[in-house]
Amino acid sequence: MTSLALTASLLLALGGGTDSVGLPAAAPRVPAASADNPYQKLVADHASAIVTIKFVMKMEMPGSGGDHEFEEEVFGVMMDPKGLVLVSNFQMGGMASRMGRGQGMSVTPTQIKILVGDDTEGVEAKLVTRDSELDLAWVKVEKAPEKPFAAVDFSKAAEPKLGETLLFLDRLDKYFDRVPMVYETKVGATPKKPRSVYLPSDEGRRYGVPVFTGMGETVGFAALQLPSEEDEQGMGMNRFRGAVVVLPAAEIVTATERAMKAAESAEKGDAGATEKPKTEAEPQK
Amino acid sequence: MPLRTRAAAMLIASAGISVPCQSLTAQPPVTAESAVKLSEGATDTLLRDGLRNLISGARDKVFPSLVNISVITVNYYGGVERKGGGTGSGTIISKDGHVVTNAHVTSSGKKFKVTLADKSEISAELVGEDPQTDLAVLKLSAEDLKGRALPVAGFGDSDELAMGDYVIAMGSPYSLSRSITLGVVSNCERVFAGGNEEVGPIDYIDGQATGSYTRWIQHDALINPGNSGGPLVNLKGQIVGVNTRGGSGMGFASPSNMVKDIVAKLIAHGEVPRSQVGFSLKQIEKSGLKEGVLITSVIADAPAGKAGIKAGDVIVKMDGTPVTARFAEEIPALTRRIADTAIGGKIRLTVQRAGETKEFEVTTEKMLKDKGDETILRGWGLGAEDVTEAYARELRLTSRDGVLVTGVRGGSPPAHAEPSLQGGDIITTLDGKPLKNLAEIVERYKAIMAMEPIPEFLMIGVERRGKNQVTLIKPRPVKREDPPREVPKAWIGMETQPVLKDLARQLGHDGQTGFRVTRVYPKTLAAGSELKVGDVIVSLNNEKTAPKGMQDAGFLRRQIEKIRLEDGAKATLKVLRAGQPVDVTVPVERTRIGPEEARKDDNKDFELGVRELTFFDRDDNRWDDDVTGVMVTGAEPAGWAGLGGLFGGDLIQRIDSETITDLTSYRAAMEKITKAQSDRVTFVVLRGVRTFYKFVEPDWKPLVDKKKAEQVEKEKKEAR
Repeated sequence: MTSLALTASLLLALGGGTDSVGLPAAAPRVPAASADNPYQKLVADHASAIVTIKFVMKMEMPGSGGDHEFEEEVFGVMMDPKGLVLVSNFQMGGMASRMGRGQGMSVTPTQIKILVGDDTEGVEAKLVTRDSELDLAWVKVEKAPEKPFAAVDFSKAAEPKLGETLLFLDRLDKYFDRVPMVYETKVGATPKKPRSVYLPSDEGRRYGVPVFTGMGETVGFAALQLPSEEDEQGMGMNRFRGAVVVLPAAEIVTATERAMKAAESAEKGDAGATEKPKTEAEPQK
Repeated sequence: MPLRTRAAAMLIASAGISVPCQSLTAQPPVTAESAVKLSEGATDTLLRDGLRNLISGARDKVFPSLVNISVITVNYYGGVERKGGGTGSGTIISKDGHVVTNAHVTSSGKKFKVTLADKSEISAELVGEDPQTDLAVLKLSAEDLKGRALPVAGFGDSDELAMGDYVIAMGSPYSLSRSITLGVVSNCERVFAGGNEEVGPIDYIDGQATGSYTRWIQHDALINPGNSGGPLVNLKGQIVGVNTRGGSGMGFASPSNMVKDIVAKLIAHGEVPRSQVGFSLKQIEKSGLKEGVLITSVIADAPAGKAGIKAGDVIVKMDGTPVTARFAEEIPALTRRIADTAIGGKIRLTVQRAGETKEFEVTTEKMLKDKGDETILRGWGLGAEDVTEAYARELRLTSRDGVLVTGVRGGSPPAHAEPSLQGGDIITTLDGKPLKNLAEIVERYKAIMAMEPIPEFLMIGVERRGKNQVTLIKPRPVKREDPPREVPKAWIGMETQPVLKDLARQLGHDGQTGFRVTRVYPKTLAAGSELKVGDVIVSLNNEKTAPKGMQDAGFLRRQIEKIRLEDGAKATLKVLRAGQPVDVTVPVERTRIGPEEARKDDNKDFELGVRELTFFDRDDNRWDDDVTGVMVTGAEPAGWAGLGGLFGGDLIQRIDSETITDLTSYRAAMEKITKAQSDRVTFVVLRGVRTFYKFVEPDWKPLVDKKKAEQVEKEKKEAR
């Protein structure tokens, strides 16, 4: 846990006046942490970092009579106090893109806003980049915040074993005022191919949320694993249709570093962001 | 009389003409009487040739004036303007170039092109439409005609038609222009009654009820989509109907006597002025009544209601003349009689009510349009329509001021508003000020969107089912946004296929699985290495790459992606080549941008989507680096670009005199065209290996027809 997050949890435990660093004054009350109640502790420690992302999904299919737009609201996890949010790519238009691939369909999340706590206005944000293979997308606030946001630290990760408790920290729909929700399950499997992940023991888990041990240590991020285009070939009718997996925190950190480096390059107008890369081949002799 | 001889006599008699028999024998012209005296052999020939001559004679009289009509339509759904196209048929009926067709052919039409018998294409304008009878008149452009004489077809008397008469349907079924089919009249007075056995509209055209006044000519000359608006012709070569409906081997034509009347009114007034009194009629069959016609409903604030007429009254006399409608077929004549009364004229009605006879005098009013003009405020994603008198009456609105919301585009400012706007809302105020009509909201919309900066909030007042509400929308310009890019990862410029055990053995690799190189992309770092097509990769950086099944097809790619991308990064591959292990070092580069991630542009005027050219486009098409341009992702079929023949997959290389190298140059060229409001734009596109020249004709007309807007205001004043 970072020092800021630790301070936040202490303040919560003491029932301090401010709910958490960086939140508006009207943040929802969270119960005092109780060591005997892991759910309460988890919510107290990290619920503030589960944020709402509102956006308009714009879908364009050539020859279909124009754009189709609809509002969406998903949850993501703040992973950097400066305002970087990790979200499931499939929830940010990746699923629609996948279904429309090969048909020229274009799916673009637009008018993105991040809502923290009780905030109804939201702060403007942009989708920086995504990794469809890992089901990760990174959304960054446009303007640096005055106060740092509450965030989940993925750099210190726990590595649970088979059968150990996993806690998924999510939020309910706005109909239920977006209150935090904790799901409990166990590590059901630890496959190494196609990559190292944790598989929850029961199906139907939400993805796009952070996952913790029963002691509140960060395990990773729940993502939807779907086969790649090449993997789908030859699978026939019994093809693997996808599963919610937990990507280990270390993988999240590596992927984020790579993503942010690429985003920085793109902003500088690096050739890698355009069609022709710097490293062009010499003609074959 | 032998059947065939008799048949020949009937054929000639029904045509009402004499058939010269010079082609058969040197005999005087054959009449019905003389036909029976012919020998049997000659009668067979006469029967066959006679009918053929009659058909060809009728055909030749009308065919030269038969036209094909192409229409570009604009409709509005869900706050979005959607263009479409359609075709139909028509007939030139005047030397001035008037063409009669169906209203459902011209409905929502913004542009009309008419193809004449000599295949020349002439643009046309709409003179007027009458949805109630589904008839319309176009006028050919004098400029395009350049003074040439036009063939004109004449009308016959549809009242003279009898069941069994031969009729010819002419038109363009399924856009197959200039076709004819032959049939007989099946019924001369067909009407359509709904489930409640009341003769009423059979359909709606642009929201307007149609079919209430028509007694159709039912026939079995085969007609199909595309025949609409084409003539139904008798064997004298006269138009006896306009084909309007059909299916399942049946056709229904509007009778020419009605068509003549409607066409004359459309040409004179641009519309068909009709009277209404505000009640519905029903035939008395099954009612127990012996005479009269039943009034089933009365609109309270319409003339009949104001005069004191009530539902349940039975009209027995109209202007002193007894009237009875025992069957449904008799209703259209009565409704037409009322409709044809002069607007503001008086009709005396004698009714029976609860055993008493009562007299009423009803002053007619002008028949109200059900639907008003409509448009889209594109930047707001809002469909808006004028509030008609009919709509105001239906919803019991106290005023016609305001505009009706017909649709709201998902994700648009009105959709985001809290509360959001909905179809059916009446916008009564905009920015706190009262709103009169469609033309006004268009002007105010344009002014707001031209402001610098555009206001953050706009207050809108709406009437929603009797409730007065206010909401705020945040108007904003249409922003161009690009789809998010994937994180670039390590990549080797090749494609591979998994080699499983059986294939490995056949390749002589002793069952050692791996990944066989199927392509080495030219102009990549891999192309400069020793890697070859056919190599089977068995390890990457000393880690085995051994697929167990097809589910591992992506395994090698994932392993490559784990390599840290930095300048000079390399991968060491152990490959099997001709059965022998070989080490190959391949430089690693970053993944190339795919079409899904390419930057895009969407031109709303031309309804044309393009994106930047990618590495994979070049490779797929085998285009060298000197090939530049932007790829078309799609063109709406009835949009300007679509009509000009641009398709998805085209590479736009030049626009007019501007060479297109990338999105920036493309956008600059399109902005220049928009500023200049060019009449014609030439796109030079590369499609595969061929170059095409595409000529696009933009139509830069304003959103609302000012003349129609003035007409709306005039009607409002008259109604007050």
